[in-house]
Amino acid sequence: MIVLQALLFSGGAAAADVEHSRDPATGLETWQWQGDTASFTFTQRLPDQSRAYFQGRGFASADAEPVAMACVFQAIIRNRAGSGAPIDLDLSGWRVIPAQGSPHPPRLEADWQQEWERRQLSGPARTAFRWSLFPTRQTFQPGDWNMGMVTFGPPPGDRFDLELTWKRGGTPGHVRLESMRCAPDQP
Amino acid sequence: MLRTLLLITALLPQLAVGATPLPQTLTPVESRPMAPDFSLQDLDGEVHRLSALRGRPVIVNFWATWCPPCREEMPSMQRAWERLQTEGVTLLAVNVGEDPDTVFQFTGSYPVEFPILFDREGTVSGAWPMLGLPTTFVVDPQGRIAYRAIGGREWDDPTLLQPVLELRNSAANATTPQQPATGNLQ
Repeated sequence: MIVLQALLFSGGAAAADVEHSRDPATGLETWQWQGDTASFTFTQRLPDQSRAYFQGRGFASADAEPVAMACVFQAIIRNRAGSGAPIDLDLSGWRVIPAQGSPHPPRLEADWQQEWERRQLSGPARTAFRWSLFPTRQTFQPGDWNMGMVTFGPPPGDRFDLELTWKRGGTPGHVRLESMRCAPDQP
Repeated sequence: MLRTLLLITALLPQLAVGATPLPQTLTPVESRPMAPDFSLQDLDGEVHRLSALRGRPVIVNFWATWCPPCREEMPSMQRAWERLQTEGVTLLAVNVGEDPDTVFQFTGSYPVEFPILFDREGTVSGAWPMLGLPTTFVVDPQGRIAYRAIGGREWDDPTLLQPVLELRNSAANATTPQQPATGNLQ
């Protein structure tokens, strides 16, 4: 079930392991990088999962559709250290590198909120969206972690590389997750 | 060859996801800003006002039923509550953005006895210095934010509760209130 891929850690201090697995029950794929003090886990969400999730929280079908098609992943990010420096994240510095086209950051919450403003989405629906997405900027003290959705943008089924950046106590960290794949619309 | 195989076998457990126990920590908030006050109704319609609880530590947990780590920490929070309610500590769980029917159904699967309050419009959670769910604050007896935890915890862990219980000793050492907490405490 689990395929271990030892990928070269570009820009970091040493080689790092990226673990890729597929849930046999759902078929959903997960990519995880784990260092001594931080871990990043990304699990695919099917477009239908996102449609159902947001329609259940006040989104009209037409409003849920652009999110569902935006390559949604569930992210879990931890500061694994028991003590020491915090980890600072800024998703606007991450880069989605599609097989074709230019690298770009994930689509961030502020950008979505502008769209919801234009679509005149209800207040409760926007509140649900705000808390569902991974915060654009967040500091993780030792032991802190968070879970939330990240919208990477490519179409369903497309592959891309993801460049992650962070700072721990001001020192930059960097890892590239290769050949990630947006969940297909029809699994 | 055999040595290589043994080495790989020895290393495999360390490669497993989450094999290492994760730390259980509360982050001290050194500036101790005043916790934004609120008055919110619980499932029974009873109003709970934070500032009415001065004189005792209060754990304020922000959560939602759709948030997996929020659900995961609920049983340990209940076990913590069973101890804390006799130790002079209050626990309030503020649900963000959901209605009582949804939460009532949820408590069928996750029975808890501590008060669950409703912040349906998100106005209270928006006033607290938090970005994601769950986030839990520990308010000291003077009404100031003393600790914060981002993400779920095992709340019945004695090492996690000890600093909360120690706050009871500070009840007699009240100091001048600070400015209310806004934005990011980090």
